[in-house]
Amino acid sequence: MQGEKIVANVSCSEVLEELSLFADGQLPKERVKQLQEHVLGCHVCEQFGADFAATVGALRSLGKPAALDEEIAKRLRDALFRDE
Amino acid sequence: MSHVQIKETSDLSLLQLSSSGDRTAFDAFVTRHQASVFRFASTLSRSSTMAEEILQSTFISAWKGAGGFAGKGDARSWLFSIARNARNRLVRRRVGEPSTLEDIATLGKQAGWGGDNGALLQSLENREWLEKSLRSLSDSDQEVLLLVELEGMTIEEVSGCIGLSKAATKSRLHRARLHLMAALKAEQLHAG
Repeated sequence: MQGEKIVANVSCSEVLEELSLFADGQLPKERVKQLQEHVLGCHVCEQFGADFAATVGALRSLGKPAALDEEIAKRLRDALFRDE
Repeated sequence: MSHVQIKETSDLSLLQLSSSGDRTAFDAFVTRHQASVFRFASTLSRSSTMAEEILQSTFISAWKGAGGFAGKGDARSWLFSIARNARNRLVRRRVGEPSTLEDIATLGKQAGWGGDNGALLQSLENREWLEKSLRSLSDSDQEVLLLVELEGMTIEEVSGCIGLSKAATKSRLHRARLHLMAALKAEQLHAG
């Protein structure tokens, strides 16, 4: 990336690489701290990290699936127990 | 079994009862998971007919194979792996690794890393664009996003379902999220 920075001994590329692990709470505390320090000093990563989190949040907000159409559910039961 | 009893019965118990031919127990298992399996099938299908075929094939296989589950792993992971196989059989191609993997920096740039992503938040508010962007992704991206973000399955469960190591599943999830951002960005550009 043009304008890539190293802040808190962490490069922007490393932040990009570890963004999901960071967002999902799968990094060791010390690494979380380093990435947080980088983001505090890097507007690009701060913005992209916020967009990334918003995208994941929006996807999760799609939530539960719609209830199965009654006709499809009936045909499923018919197919399941047809030979019983 | 009463409605309350069924509601409180675990998937494992329902499948154990199903394996001895208990239709009521299997019906309860189907009722619990049918909407999720249908969403998975619909998203990864080209038509509603195919989605219904996958739905039926999945639960017929689960009914016949309930005895083979035996509590190894998570029941949803087992069920979605059956759905995945049913889908792959129907489209006669394997949902595997993409033939080429872009490096993360390239993928990041496509997703707006280091650039202007000002319109992204606006497109996230549009449910239709979000669903359309999700459907535009590769099968492997769609399935990992569906299972983790929409079904709330853990990396371990998804890894068991799609047959990848946990590390590879995490990597696929990360790439799928970046691909979704890139698709949303493209959708916004196309619309705007």
